Amino acid sequence: MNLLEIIDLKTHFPTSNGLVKAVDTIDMSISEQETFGLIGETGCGKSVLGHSIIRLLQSDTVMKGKIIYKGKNLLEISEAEMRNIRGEEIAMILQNPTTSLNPVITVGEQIAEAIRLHQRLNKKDAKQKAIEMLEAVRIPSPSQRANEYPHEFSGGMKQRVMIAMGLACDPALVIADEPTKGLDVTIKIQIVELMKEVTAQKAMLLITHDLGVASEMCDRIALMYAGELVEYASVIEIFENPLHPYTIGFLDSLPGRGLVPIPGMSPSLIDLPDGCRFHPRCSHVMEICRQKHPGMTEMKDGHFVRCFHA
Amino acid sequence: MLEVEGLTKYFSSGLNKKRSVKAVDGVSFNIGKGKTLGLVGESGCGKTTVGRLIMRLIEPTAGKVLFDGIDLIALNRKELRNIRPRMQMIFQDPDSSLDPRMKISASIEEPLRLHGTYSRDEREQKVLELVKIVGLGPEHIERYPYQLSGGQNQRVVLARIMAMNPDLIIADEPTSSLDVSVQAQILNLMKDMQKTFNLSYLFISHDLDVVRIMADHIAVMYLGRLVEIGETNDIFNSAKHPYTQALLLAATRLQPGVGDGAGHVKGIILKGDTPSPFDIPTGCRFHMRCPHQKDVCLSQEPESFEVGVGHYVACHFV
Ligand SMILES: Nc1ncnc2c1ncn2[C@@H]1O[C@H](COP(=O)(O)OP(=O)(O)OP(=O)(O)O)[C@@H](O)[C@H]1O
Ligand code: SF4
Ligand SMILES: [Mg+2]
Repeated sequence: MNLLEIIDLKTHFPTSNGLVKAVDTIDMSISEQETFGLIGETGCGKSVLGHSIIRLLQSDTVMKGKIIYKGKNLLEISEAEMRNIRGEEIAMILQNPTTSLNPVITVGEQIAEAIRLHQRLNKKDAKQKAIEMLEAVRIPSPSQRANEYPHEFSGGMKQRVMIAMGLACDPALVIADEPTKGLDVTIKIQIVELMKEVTAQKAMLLITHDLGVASEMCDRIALMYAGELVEYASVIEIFENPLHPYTIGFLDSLPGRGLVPIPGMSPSLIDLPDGCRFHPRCSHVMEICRQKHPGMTEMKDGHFVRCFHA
Repeated sequence: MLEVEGLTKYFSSGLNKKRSVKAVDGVSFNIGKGKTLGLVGESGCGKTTVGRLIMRLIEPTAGKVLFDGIDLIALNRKELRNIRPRMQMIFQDPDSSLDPRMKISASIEEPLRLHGTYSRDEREQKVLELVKIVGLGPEHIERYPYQLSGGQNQRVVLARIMAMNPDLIIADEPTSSLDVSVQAQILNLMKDMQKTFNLSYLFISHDLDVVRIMADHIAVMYLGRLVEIGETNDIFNSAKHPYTQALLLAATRLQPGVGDGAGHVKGIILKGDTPSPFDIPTGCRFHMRCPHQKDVCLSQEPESFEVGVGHYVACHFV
């Protein structure tokens, strides 16, 4: 069953240079306990999509469409109602633990605070819960480490703290934005294993550049390009039967898969190309691609592609 | 082209300079003309310090660096200045290597002006040549760095480097801030340049997939020491050091694709953290994370010995 359904979502930022169409016409869904990977290159709008779901965006942001969570349209509920959903129902694990953790508060207190935002626990019980969370993310001697400050933790350990914090109120949906960025590969694999384990009963939107991490963790993968999804399908389909020229180009450019670059670069989100947004870089471009914007088409069971050529 | 022997750097830090960080400890390797050595290891293991020592941007505590037969450590300032153009370094972040107030054309022309004997017209001509070598067009050179993408700026950095006509390039994570499709552009360019100009590379990276396609030989570094060095194929197919095996396992498991394809890889998933260079474990530096550790590993630092042609491993149990 769908836990989250996004229908025709647009998130636009008015700026002095023009309207930044960071998320533009996104349709997707995440079912219960599913891990859904969102892959794309820098600036394509992945984080904005993640933040749109929990409505953590500046106030002049223009949002249109629907985000249906457990039958409720999150774009229509009040801010007070939204606050209850954040953390408790939908939690975010952020991209950068170094800037997201408060340097002057102990790690245990920070997690306890996050818990007390949503659960009526006294300080002592919240602290106990925080220690349990640290233990759940395999931090050695958790009751002792709870009293330490973030700078006393290594990069990998900080990431564990971020995971503990995100999961503290037992949310049904976790949005994880680059949870393995900047980690060494021997630590990265530990975090991947940990996340797989602690989110097994939860739905997750995993935002990442790292197709390796996504293929290890996800059930389905979507490729995002210039504010929209261009393809999504099961992990196996994406790797064995990629259909969109961008997906194919992305796979071919990986060092282990040929290192064939995609010519050119991603367009500005203020000045998107007419027709297919990928057409200036596409080797299959046809006349229609320059004029019409391709829609999302289901090519095969659950395999969706936005391309006239596919 | 480059011979490094017993290269060592201790930094002292903290109050009264009491704490000493053994950032690089007895590192030896060679790089042939036109060849690439990949230097891999985790953050803080000393990779970048090795690069900076070779360039003599910092002074080594001990060791020898021979560049084209010349002992770099013995050179005085002036001699060093004369030889520097032949060795160039490129970093992860192109923005830190380019002056934001300088147009691209001026950035590329600068080294020609400082080090060459070209006339103004010749320099202009040469800038256009260099721009073409790195795959940019004349339309780019009247812009400023902020008007170009990260990948384009990295090309500008390469053009600047090529203006010096170097023999050796030390590339320190040159593509780790770039998207994969752009990374592929830069890595291909670096390979083409190597072929055309017979360049030698020291390619520093934490990404084994990238090193695999760039390097002829690979050196694996752990807490300031080389634990294994060998031909790229030998490292990937018959790694002997437990740390190298663990790196390969993690990298293989995290390779994009379905099925983990790691069945043939020997290593394990390491427990624990990358230790800090401030308190380096006694004996074998890897012993705390090593699945095979025995008593001798706690007390005695293993010597490096040859297990195959040009394949060296520093472990008591290979
Ligand atoms: N508040 C804002 N106002 C204006 N533009 C914004 C704002 N927030 C984000 N953007 C722009 O929206 C685009 C998408 O940004 P986003 O952070 O979602 O990218 P991303 O895909 O997460 O990239 P990365 O992989 O680098 O994290 C970018 O061009 C960014 O500059
Ligand atoms: S719609 Fe046309 S331009 Fe766009 S990806 Fe498909 S073939 Fe290429
Ligand atoms: Mg982001």
